[in-house]
Amino acid sequence: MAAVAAGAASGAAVGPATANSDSSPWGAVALAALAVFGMGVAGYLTVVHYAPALLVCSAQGLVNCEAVLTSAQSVVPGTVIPITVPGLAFFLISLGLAIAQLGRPNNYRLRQAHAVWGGLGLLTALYLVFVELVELHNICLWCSSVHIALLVTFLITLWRLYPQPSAARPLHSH
Amino acid sequence: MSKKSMAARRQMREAAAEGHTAGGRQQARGRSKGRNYRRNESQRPWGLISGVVGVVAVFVIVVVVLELSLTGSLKQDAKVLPIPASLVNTISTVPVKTLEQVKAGNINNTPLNIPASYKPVALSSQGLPEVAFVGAEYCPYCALQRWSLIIGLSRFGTWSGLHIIRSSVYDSPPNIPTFTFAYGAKFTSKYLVFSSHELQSNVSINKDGSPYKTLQNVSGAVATAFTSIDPTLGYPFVDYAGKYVQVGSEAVTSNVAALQGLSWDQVAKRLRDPTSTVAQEILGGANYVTAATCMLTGQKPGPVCTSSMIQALQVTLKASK
Repeated sequence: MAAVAAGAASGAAVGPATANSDSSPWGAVALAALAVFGMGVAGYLTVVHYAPALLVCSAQGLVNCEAVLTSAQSVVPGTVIPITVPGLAFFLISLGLAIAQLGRPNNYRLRQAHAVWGGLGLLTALYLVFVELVELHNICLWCSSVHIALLVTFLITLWRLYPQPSAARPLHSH
Repeated sequence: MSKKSMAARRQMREAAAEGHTAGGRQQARGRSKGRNYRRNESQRPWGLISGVVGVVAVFVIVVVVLELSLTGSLKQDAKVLPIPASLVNTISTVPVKTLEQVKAGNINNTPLNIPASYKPVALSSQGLPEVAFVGAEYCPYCALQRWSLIIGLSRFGTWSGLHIIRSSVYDSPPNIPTFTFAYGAKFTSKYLVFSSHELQSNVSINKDGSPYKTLQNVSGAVATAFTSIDPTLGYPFVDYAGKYVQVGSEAVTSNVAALQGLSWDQVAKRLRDPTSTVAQEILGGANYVTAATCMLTGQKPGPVCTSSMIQALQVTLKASK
């Protein structure tokens, strides 16, 4: 009987719907808050792209949002779409993933998906930091705030991956 | 096995799988107390998180240190990118009102009459007068001149194939956003022909400002004009069909520096303000380009060349020596 019950528990642990990891909502709430923050900044920078007068930031020296946001690298390559639009979409999806985790706190696959998504976001942020420092020689503080949000998002998604569901499994059921 | 026993088993299995029922929770709690379960808290990924933060920090530090160590403060931007369509449109459609307001702007070196003693070479091509530019991508003064040329000549035709570059970080003022006429730039007009000769790139071979890679050659009549008018072979050099010539910067160094570190769109934006230093330099120069070119095209097109402002600049050019 114990073996049967253990097997059932084991099956539940590796299934897509459940995880025995931390089911506290605060991680997902934090992820949702970061996504909303990111959407806010990305949305603002998208508006600024079309209405530069609305930009509130230094336009001289190393910290020069205007130089960054009007650079050739500020649009999706080969298009006139500001790069903040894909950023907006990224945070929108991140918000969706966070909300889904609030509804299904034990769904480990959602956590994994969010971690992968967060990792992609962080890689993009690193590339954009590289562009700012190496190619443009200017830093945009608004962009930096989004980059930090991306880093924190990824760290939280990593945090929420542990303990892994397999850790709640009996190592030896007999 | 009895039915009762099987039902109990099924119930237990569901409870364990769901983890929602009291039985399931009790069972989970019971297991967690067992010696074969790992403790959750001990599995927090502190190492992984520290690693990610460390990698990000190292990445940023390495990039910053490399940047600073390579050039002290700046690294040459050697990228040659096609000009964005929006930028072409912006600089090709500077409002006439703005150009009229700027007039001669703050130009301190205008095109001059070529004295007969220099044996001027009449430049022409395809039966049309030729405006020739000789410069180099590294040269900050050429960088400013190209803005004026492109804007001034866009009143006579259309540009295509332009690319954006920055002048050298080793020259002064450094890092001026500009364009290059190399890489397939073409000016189409029924009034004149434009030829360009970018003799050197903005890539310093020794990474210290000298020498720069050779890019294009100048030959034929333009080479003759270039070498005879200014034996020092100064850049930028703009020859208006052998009638007028401009050698050297159209603006003083401190005003060229107004473009330093700006993006192309920032420059374009400042061109909309006729009182800005950028507009005074670039648009003032563009008006002189227009005035000189009108004298080659028989004052065509009329709407451009008959402007009182352009006519006034032509008087200045005719009187120049």
